[in-house]
Amino acid sequence: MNMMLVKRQSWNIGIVLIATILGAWQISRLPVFGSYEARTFLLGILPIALLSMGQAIIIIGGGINLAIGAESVLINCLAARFMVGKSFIACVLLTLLFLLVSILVGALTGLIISKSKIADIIVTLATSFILIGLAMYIQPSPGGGMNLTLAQMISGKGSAFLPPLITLILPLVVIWLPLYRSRTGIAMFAIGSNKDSAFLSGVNVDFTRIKLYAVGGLFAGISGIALTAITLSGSPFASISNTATLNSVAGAVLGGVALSGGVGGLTGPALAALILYFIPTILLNYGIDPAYSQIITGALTILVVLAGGLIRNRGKKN
Amino acid sequence: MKLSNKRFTALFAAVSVVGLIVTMAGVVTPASAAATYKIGVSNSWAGNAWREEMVCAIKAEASLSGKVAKVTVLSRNTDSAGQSADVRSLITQGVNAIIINSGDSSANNPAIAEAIAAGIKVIAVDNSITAPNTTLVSNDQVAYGAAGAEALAKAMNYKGNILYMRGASGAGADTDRDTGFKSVLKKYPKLKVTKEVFTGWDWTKGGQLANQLLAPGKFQGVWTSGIDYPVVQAMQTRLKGKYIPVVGADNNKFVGMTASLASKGFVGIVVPNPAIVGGAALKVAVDLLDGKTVGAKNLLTPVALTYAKNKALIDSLYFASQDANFSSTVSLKGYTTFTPAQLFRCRAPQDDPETTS
Repeated sequence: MNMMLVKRQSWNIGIVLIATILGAWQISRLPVFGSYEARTFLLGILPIALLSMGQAIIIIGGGINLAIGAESVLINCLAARFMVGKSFIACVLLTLLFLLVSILVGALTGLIISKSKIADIIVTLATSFILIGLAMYIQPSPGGGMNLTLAQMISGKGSAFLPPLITLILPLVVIWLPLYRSRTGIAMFAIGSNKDSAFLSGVNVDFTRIKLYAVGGLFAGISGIALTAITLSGSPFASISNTATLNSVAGAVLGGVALSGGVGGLTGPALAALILYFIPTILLNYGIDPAYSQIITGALTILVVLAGGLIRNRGKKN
Repeated sequence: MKLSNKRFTALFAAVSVVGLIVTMAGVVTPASAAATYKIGVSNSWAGNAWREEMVCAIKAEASLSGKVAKVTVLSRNTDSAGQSADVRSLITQGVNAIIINSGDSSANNPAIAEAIAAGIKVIAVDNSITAPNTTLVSNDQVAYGAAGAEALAKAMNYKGNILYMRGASGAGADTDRDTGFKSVLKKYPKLKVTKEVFTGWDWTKGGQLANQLLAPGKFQGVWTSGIDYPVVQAMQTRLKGKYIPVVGADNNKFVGMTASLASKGFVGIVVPNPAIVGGAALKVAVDLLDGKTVGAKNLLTPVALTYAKNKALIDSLYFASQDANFSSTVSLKGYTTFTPAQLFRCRAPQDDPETTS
């Protein structure tokens, strides 16, 4: 039983190991390491970790969402546009409203994919343009804001590193764990592994996919709200959403989610965001051209996909 | 043989004398002993020639100041969350001052406020930011827009259609330039912007747009936000060698074209937007750390140059050895002390000294 647990968690253990090495490297270069530095790390990974988690849910279910960065940017712009200058209570209510919007946007994307039978990659590529257009309409140029008390509850202040840590872990506990243990969770792995056999076993494939896209959207929404809290502004740029989307896929893959679907969890992607944060930060501090960090991240992603595929194939043969 | 030997000896003597002076200067100047400041640089756009030159100007001026021990440059293409992370990363590294070229006028404010709370001086360079208690060192972008517009209006005889090629929507410099441009245009009712486009300060995109939009008789003048020479190139093919006035920046190739095509009737209006404003930011940072009083806004006011009026100056701004999009202003009076060679070398104080010096 214990061996089982070690085997199941081996990927996460590997990621923790790499992240620890990179983290120690980065910390060794700092004059001091205290709670402010810990908060700096957490703020560096928070938006992308949440986005990777949302992407992971969709990939596990056999899909991929190229609009996830745009969903996050849309919520970021909505929040920054309508929360600026509002009271704490109003901002909390608006947060809930916008998270609902993010769920609906996700569900709608899932609905279009299920009903049209067009590949996920095509539909979400198209919706990404629509969502960025909407974001630009809502917040034409960078700006806006959020109630400071709420922002500090989400992203902390000074050396208070607990708020961003809670923002990172809470969705994992409140959304992922119940989903993982539910019938939808089992259906998610089933349709990700093999849609046809899942269908033949009585799984409602379409409805499950819609639900997964909705939950993925919710994570994107939380990421957008976190982004607003960190930057106290909204930026409607396609470049931001593109980078975020690509990083979310990289984060999910590095986090042990198989691109073929049906394999993975959410702890891995959350931890993988640390790696995605440390690589450019360390290289930058050595004055190395940041383009190289993209090469390393890209190469790492390919290696992981290759290695993951090999390991899984061997597992099947045995 | 004898002569060359003598020459060699003379050269050797000269080199040793220069070497001795340099060494003595190094010993005598108290500055080298007081090289303690750590300067952090956060730049939101890497791989852009203008920004690279800006960073080099910071490094070169820091090396010459004698007061800076280290310049840490965090330069990459990133969004505001990434740049905020970079600013925080600089705070954790214990820098004394941060020079930031912010990709967003307000999104880095929370991180900047933390830097200021930690006693770090924050200097915004090039793009203005809205964070309080920061110092701005920038080319006056409102004046940039106005000076170019005024010169363009004159070159167009105060009437006609303008192709208005802006920078990146939402960028502080673009908004400011637009303000300056429109304020001038209001004065001349016969001048009209008939087409407004954004190049995103992308050379390829600017060239493509110019190739699509330029047609004989359609426009009588072009205002660019610095993506200038591709427009002139597009005119050579699209307007069959007929030129209309173009406002550009001090980009090396545009400066060169302004000079070389003047005889063919091309009116190039050069409005310098010096990348070495980075060197000025470094000087301001050192002044602030020395405890000197510096105004919150330090603006370099540009003047529009034309070949008809400023022939010698424009000729001196062209560097055959440099790239097409090299920002060819190489010194700022009262701010920078480096020579062009030192700027091109791009050496920070902590880098290994050049073997040649």
